[in-house]
Amino acid sequence: MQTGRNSSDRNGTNAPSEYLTFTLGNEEYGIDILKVQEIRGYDPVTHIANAPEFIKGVINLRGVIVPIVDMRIKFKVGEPTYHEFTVVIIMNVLGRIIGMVVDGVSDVVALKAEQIKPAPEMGAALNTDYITGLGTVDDQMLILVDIEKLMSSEEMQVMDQSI
Amino acid sequence: MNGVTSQLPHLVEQLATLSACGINMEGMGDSKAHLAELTLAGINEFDASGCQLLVIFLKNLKQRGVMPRIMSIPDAIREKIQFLGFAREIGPYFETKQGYV
Amino acid sequence: MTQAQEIKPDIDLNQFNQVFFEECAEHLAEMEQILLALSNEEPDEEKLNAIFRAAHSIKGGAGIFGFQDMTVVTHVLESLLDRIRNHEIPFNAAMIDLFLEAGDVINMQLAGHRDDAGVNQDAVVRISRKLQQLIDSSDVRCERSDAVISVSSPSSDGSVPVLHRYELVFTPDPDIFRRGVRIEQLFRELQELGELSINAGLSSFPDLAGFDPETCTICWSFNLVSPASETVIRDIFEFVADEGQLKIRETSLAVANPDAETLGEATEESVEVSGKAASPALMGNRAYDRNELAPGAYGRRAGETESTLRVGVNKVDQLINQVGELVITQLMVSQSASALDPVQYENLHRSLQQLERTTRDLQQSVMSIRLVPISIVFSRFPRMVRELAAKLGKQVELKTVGDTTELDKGLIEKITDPLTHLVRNCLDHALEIPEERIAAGKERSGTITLRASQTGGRIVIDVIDDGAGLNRARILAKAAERGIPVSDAMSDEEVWQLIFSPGFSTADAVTDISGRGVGMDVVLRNVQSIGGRVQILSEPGQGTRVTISLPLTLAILDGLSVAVGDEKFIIPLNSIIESLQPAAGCLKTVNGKNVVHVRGDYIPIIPLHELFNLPARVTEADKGILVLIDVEGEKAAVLVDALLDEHQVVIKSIETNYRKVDGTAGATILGDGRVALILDVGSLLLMHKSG
Repeated sequence: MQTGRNSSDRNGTNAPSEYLTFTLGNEEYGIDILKVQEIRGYDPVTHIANAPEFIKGVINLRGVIVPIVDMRIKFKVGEPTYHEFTVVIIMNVLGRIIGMVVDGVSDVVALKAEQIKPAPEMGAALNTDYITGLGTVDDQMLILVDIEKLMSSEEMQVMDQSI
Repeated sequence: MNGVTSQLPHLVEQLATLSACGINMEGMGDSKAHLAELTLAGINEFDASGCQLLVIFLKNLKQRGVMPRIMSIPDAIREKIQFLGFAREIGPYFETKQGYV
Repeated sequence: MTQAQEIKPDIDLNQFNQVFFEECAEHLAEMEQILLALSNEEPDEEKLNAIFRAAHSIKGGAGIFGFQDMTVVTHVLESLLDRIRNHEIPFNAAMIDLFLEAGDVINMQLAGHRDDAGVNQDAVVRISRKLQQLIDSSDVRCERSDAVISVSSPSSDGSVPVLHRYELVFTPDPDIFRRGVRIEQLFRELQELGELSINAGLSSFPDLAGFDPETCTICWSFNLVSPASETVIRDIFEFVADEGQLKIRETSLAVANPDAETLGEATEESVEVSGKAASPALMGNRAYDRNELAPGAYGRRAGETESTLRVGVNKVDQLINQVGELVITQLMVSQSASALDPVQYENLHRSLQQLERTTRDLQQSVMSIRLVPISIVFSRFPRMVRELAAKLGKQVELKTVGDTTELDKGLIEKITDPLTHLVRNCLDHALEIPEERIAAGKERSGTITLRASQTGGRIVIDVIDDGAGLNRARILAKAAERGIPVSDAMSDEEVWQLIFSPGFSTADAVTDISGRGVGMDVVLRNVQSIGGRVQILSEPGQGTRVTISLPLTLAILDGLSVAVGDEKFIIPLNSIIESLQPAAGCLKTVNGKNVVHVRGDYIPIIPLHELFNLPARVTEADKGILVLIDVEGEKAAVLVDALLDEHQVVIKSIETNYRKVDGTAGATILGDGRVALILDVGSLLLMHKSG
């Protein structure tokens, strides 16, 4: 199991992982496509009393109450405007459905393990703790986000910490 | 139960031996019929399954022309056989006289 | 021909034992039910018979299946019961506890066999000895050997028992040996009924080679002279003979007073399967078995009148969700259609009305699947109270009110532990021992009342005792000791709340019942976790009332939608007293807080926009609308921009994908598809009070 050959096989020298890429400000991010449920436009939300500003509120997604987080506000990038082109990524994270507002969704890319480099301490909007690595696609850097770790963190205030 | 089951191959073997060498057994008793003696000495447990097997064994012997006699039957076993209702099936083969052999 | 070596491997005995375990558990439950129903009264003959039967069936089954240890307690119990039944030993109330204890021990032994659970042998010995002492202490002249213990009941008129002669043919299942059935034990049981003769025959004579000795080909016939009824005989075979494997017929005239000769004849008679001609006149049931064959009678499984279907809770929840969706969709369609001309689209409107009705009915029906009566929880307590009271030397009467109040199954599961704790507290701390009660001019026996009711949109459960009440001074002292900030100026209500602090216990002695200091805080946490609240009312010397109020999480809520800025909220209709547009003169300020003067009451105003930090159109109370709410007796006025509409709404959890939101009891989806938060007026009031 622990031999180099096996682990590289398993981690996908031959089976690349797919990432949904999106922009936040000037940066390009990627999250595991398997966590993405759907992408939709921005519907009016119902505000939640005394929630932090970046938690826009909740929407009705086919009968399920789903919280909407605006990453632009949270990470102070881009312009938090809402119009017909505003994009919400609906994700399934740790058994919960959460919507995430970003500047735009770009693409779905496949990255092999060797294309992913460890993330150095850097000045990205996101704390390095939530970054699994850096990928390169067409000479552009892609920041890969551990969305589970991010969404369950205390600073996102989405989940009760007791859970 | 397991006791009985494990004894079965042994019994079958004995039955085969008994019926095959019926002629040789002539000298064993004074009767004209072939006579087989079964001893129940040393047996301390006997259940319905055992009774059933014994009855079938006895019948099989008779079918092969061997007349069985059951010897040295402990009182407890005799009572158990009666209690379980097998007095009529097994009782006639009991040999009660002491020193028969 | 098959070789001897190819004997079938041992089959799993557990499969057969399972039947016994289940039946045994059933018998035990029935026994307990009857015993508890007695509540210290002397059982009538029918009940005694039923208890006896249960004990007897367990003993018989245990013996037959080889669980000898279980026959020990059941045997003594059975003997004792038999003597009580025959009026050889007078019944007394203490016996009920003893019987209950015996039932527990048997249950423990059963669990030992079934689940490999540990068996406390000391308990077995102890209870056997106690039961035996009762037998021994009774009159010695009735001493009888085990073999003669009669299973028959005395005839109701007290005359000499009537003897019956039966012929039984028992053709057991070929698997009976493999099942590990102790046939000898079975026969011994029969022998205890009376004079028995047994004859075995083989239904076939297979060749020895290839015969599987564990396959039973034996057919037994019995001749039995006994006062017992056919039912009693059938009971012995309960675990062993399937339908058709046991044939019983009564063969000759009953003898009023058996003499040795008759009995002798009976034993000697040869028994053939054909038997003697039965006299039909004597067939039929005796007085003893009059009701016991009836479905639902004690000792019998209830009939199939109310058949049930076992369905996974997740399936029910899925159904509830889907119906909720349907209701919302229906609302959306109705709302869109309302813009259409009622004359031109008359048919459409009529159909939509029909659709609405049907959808509502469907929703109600589906919701009701999850509702269960609270008696499921309440029924645990009589036993517990009885035992604890005995242990503590107290006299307690337990009353339950509103047993049929229905609440969601999920709530039932979560409320059981907190309620158990509260009842224990009542017994252990609140209720006094009889001497103290009398000294205080109360009745010897204390009362604990469990009362459930549905008050509007909430389920309210009260645990009331008439004990000593909470001791204000002691609670304050204890709290101070624990470093909790207190002052003598605190209101009673605030003082009582202190007992919910973690690790708080005022009990002088730590008992094994409660008072370990992990109590009320856990109760509060559990109740709060299901959106409930706990309130305490206590009067020194009079007693204490703990009130738990729970939301009807799954019920459809009738609510009033209100607007604050761009947001809509739902206020549960049942908590609303009235709505009013206050005149400026009615608005006052008391201690810096805004209040409204309504019919002599000064009611605090809760400005929703402030509480929820919302931009509102109306910030002055005299320009908006005040919704007067009632929170368990306390009033408040919620300031909103406008009243919108009345709705029936489906409560949805926000916590499924988000966290708990203070001041809300969930959310719902309105006819336009948008989410509206449902206000929890109780927690609104708390938020307002805490600033």
